[in-house]
Amino acid sequence: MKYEIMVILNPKQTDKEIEKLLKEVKDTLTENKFTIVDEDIWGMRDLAYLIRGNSRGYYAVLILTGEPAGMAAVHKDLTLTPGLVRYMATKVPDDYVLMRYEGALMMAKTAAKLSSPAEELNKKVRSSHKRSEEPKAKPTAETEEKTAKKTEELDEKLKAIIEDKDIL
Amino acid sequence: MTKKVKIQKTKRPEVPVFIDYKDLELLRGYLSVFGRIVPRYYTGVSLKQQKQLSLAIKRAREMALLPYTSKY
Repeated sequence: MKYEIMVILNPKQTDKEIEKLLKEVKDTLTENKFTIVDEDIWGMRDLAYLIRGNSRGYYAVLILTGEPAGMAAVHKDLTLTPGLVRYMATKVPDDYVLMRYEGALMMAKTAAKLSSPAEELNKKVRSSHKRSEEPKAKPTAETEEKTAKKTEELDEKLKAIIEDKDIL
Repeated sequence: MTKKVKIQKTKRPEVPVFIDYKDLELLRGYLSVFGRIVPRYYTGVSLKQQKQLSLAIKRAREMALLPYTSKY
């Protein structure tokens, strides 16, 4: 049988302690006659809700093959390991290919590219905004001359005001 | 007697054969604004797929990948 185990480790540990814990988890699996086929370490990740006061967790996913009889012992061991916030073991089909965390992120990017009604609406809104911005930006050369002239005039006026002694 | 034929009016959305609970982008499409599972008469997927989806969402919730409820 093929299994998948996801573990959440306590984030309040040092990196060395986390490595040690992961090794311990793997050892408990190998002791119960499971062979680790594949692994994917997600690293620190925000939790969707607080678990024992933790807002973050160190995620790791392991894929194993072995006899179903050994699973009871694995459950017993994993519930007793301190520093392990939560774990879940699930059966997966034999031809299962592990969904990588990085791959999932890439998939999210490609999914965003696919057009959906909401996306098309957003695009329309964005393009209309761009159109309104472009005509303002285009006649830069003409406006620069105008502004230069205006500043010169204003400077002259200011000078005249400053030199005027009647105001004081 | 004429035989009743069920007509699928709208096309069923495409769902992978094996629904992984780590595929969060897929699962988020079947959650409401408040983080609840959207019923089948809105999603339009088959009964088998809906059951698999809801199981995957529940697994993801247990591992804190998805929220049980999202605050408004």
